[in-house]
Amino acid sequence: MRTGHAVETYPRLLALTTNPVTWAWVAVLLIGLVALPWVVSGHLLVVSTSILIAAVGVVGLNVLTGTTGLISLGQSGFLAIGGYACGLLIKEVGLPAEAAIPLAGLITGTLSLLIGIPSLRLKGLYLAITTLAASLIITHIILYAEPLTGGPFGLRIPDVSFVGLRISDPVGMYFTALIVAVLVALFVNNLMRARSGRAWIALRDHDIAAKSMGINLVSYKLLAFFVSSSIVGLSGALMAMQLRFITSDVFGLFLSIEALAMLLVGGVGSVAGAILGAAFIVLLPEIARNLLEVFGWSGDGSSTHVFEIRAVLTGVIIIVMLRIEPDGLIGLWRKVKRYWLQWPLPI
Amino acid sequence: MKLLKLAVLATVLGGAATAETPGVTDSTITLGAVLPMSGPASIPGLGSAAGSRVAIEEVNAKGGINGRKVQMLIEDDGYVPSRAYQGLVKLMDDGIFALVGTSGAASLVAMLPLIDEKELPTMVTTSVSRAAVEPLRPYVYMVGADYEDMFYAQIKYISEHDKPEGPYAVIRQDDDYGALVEAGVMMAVEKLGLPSVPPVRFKRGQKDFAAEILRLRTQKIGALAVGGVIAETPAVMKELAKLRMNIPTANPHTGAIGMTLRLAAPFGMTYYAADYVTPIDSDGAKTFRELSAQFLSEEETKSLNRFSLAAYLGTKAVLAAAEMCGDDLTQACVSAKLKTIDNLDSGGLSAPLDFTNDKNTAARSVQVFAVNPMEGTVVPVTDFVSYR
Amino acid sequence: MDYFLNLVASGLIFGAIYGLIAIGFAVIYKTTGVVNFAQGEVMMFVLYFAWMVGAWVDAPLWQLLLIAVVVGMIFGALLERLFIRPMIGQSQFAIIMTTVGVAIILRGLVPLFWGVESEPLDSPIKSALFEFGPVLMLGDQIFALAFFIAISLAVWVFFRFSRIGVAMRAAAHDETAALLMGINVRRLQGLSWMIASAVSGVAGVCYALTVSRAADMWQIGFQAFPATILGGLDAPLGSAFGSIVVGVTASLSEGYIGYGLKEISGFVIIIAVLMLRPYGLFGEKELERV
Repeated sequence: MRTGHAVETYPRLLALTTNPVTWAWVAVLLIGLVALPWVVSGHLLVVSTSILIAAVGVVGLNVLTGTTGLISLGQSGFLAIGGYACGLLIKEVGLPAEAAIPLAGLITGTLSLLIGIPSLRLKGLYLAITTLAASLIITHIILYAEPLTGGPFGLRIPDVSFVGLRISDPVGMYFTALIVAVLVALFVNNLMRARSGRAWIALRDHDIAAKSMGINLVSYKLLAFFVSSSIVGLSGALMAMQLRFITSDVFGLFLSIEALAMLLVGGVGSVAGAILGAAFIVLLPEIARNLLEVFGWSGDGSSTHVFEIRAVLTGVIIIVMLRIEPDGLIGLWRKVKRYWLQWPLPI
Repeated sequence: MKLLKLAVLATVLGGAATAETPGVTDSTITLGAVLPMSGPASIPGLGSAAGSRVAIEEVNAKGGINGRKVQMLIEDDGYVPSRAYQGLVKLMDDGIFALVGTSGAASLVAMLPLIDEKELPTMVTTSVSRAAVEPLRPYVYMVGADYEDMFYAQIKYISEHDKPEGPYAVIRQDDDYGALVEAGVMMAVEKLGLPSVPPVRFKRGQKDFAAEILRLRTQKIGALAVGGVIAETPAVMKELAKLRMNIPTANPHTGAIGMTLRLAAPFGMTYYAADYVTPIDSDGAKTFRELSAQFLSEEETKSLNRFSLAAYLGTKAVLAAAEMCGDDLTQACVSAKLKTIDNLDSGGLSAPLDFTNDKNTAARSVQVFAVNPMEGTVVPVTDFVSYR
Repeated sequence: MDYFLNLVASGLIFGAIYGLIAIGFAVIYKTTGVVNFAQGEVMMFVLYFAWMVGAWVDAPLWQLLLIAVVVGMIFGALLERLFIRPMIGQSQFAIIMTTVGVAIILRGLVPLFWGVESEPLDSPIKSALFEFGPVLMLGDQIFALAFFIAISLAVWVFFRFSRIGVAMRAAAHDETAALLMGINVRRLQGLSWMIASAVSGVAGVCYALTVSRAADMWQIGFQAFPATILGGLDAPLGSAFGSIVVGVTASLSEGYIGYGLKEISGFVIIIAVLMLRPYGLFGEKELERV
């Protein structure tokens, strides 16, 4: 029985996980994810791909919000930069997807510093507003930069392949998203254990104390901004490749709100939570659909209200989730785990 | 676990379905539609869904297509392009024979790669978009004139009838739709040799046009084209009334729907609108209204509007093509037969449907209306005229 | 000059409507520290509900306003009791997301009950034309402006002089001290939601009168957001002033520059102002002690 989290050596502290069982579970999960396209097809595979893409974005957002305590409403703007950068690099520059996707991430990260540097003085909600403002300005510029972006007529992305996987093929797109998602999850998990991750957590918990411990506030906050936006940019690039046609409408404000909802429902602060939250919110319309079908309401158009009811249900589920488990799905998971580990002792 | 079972089932069925025509069984034909069914953008979506349903029930009442009953599946995209894409994948999983509802222009464009892949017979009626027919696809057809034609027709009518003194102006939404409106006005300005001022753009969803109209007033404009969706027409009328600018205005087809009339009524301005289908309250649509009363629920009847007429015609054309195919009911056959339809009776709802042109588009003839919101009247002032 | 004055006048009108919503944002934030992301949706719901009640009794405009205030107060109290109070003690982030959930629900409920078609709010004053020298204004626009000024004054008087208002400021300033002084902080928080929703109700009536009622009128909440921030989230009167600045800037930027700048100019100002004053124009600077 595991009794606690006492760690005796530094290498153990820095290890990805202290528990071999975890490795086993991760392996099972990965095998499951790789095998998925042979189990599900069509719609469910596309939804799975969307979950992976959203998860990458939320993991990125989590670096900023979950670890530095800064709320960003700029998700849709950074997704847009990533998407357009990737699309333009493939279409206009002719780069292969293997180069275009990571470059799109880096471009997003670099441009985000334009907002990050002046926003450093701001705290909490005020940062939410500047990022919100930034995302509106970004989509405005994209819409009006017609010679470059196609403006209102959008940008068509040619069908390319990523390490031999064709993006127009749902299976190929699924694996493209899976590869990026796994790499990002690994990268962030590593970063969080390293010096930078620890510095961020110190900043979140008490910035003045962190400063007195010798953590450079400015550079670490900017680093968080850069890393976070770069990862969000990757998610935007994947979105563009999945749709293969983007306009500035694709990156509406609702994406920012949705991303925050994913983060919160999943549980702020952990990579696993971000992924769970993304899965939950993307599946929410499906859940609502199935709930309604249980009551005999299906979407054949004979009842014009069914779709509104579905939207209301989405809101209800979010509130119920927050009420039952404010720490999110990951909190629920931890409670269940603790219950089994400690059984028959009470928690 | 149930999900997994369903998934396995889906793969098995998916594998089996490819062997035959998707969406067709011995006794049924399934059509699909992706439409905005929820939220404020659902006016065209609900209207289209009701229109398609009338066409389907009409056919079913006569015994179906060669003995097969027709049914329809609808996915809600809430006017969000990425959800439209997912919705179409879902419909294809469930098995649809053809797509008769394509939501907004951006949603349609998001779905086009999928439509291309499966060469899915598609009828565009809700949002007439050039992307659907440029490049020309043998399986994508459209009902309705370009927005360019609709505005060209109105500007031409205004220049001949009202003969305004000042230059022609256009205020339009800053998206692809607005760009087409601007193109139509500029086409008229060039061809007819009219004076004009630089176009004004506004963000979608904008509610207040005071600054824009003030600016146009300083340019002493004589006529104005309003490239908004629905609420923009009354909002512009309000500002024109306030500034006492009694000038003729050209508006999109939504300028003639009941809601726009009600919203514009307090400002005492009349205006023009144009459409490729007849107004839903007109005598021309009487037969359609009787049909719909027969087949639709009260709730659905309330959502009827001009989009219903376009969707009705489009769905009717797809079903007519399916009828022609007889026992050889394949998607390729329906696509090919649609191309041969050159004079399908529209019951007076529009010009007769003819898809045999280089744009796969029927009902390209436009009628201009004089709209009087105070009286609640929409009076056609021209016949259906083709400007192509 | 005529052009400039007319632009300013038209900016004032929408600034006034933003302002009424911004006051709602600020009142709740000042007393509870929560940003209510459902402010625009609350405005929409209260208006639709009041409209329905008003239609039963065939109420003229001034009665509709009263109904909207009453409906707003009841609705605000309900929202706080059902959704916000149970979340007390959770992170601020969780409470904000709860208001997002409320927003999604209200957005769905309105079309469900009342349909998606917009309706004009008819009143004799709606299309009456007024001239102030070169400036032209419609009756409904003057109505909105008048109510904005009246409500701003009322809010100022309330916070400055009334017992409850002073108690609210005290609770906002130091919750523990206020509790020790015998102030029922919970009740005050409920009250702030009631006030904010009632003000939103008035905003809804003004909006419906100058534009129309519509199932997408919640979007104006987003436009009022930068206005609130500009004035300072915790300063009700300041955010009212911020709204006027945003409205007039929007109008002038469209009038003199164009390129669809109107809808984003407010956000551009925000970035600029927050660089110089991170707590808004009139917000209180938070002192941090270690």
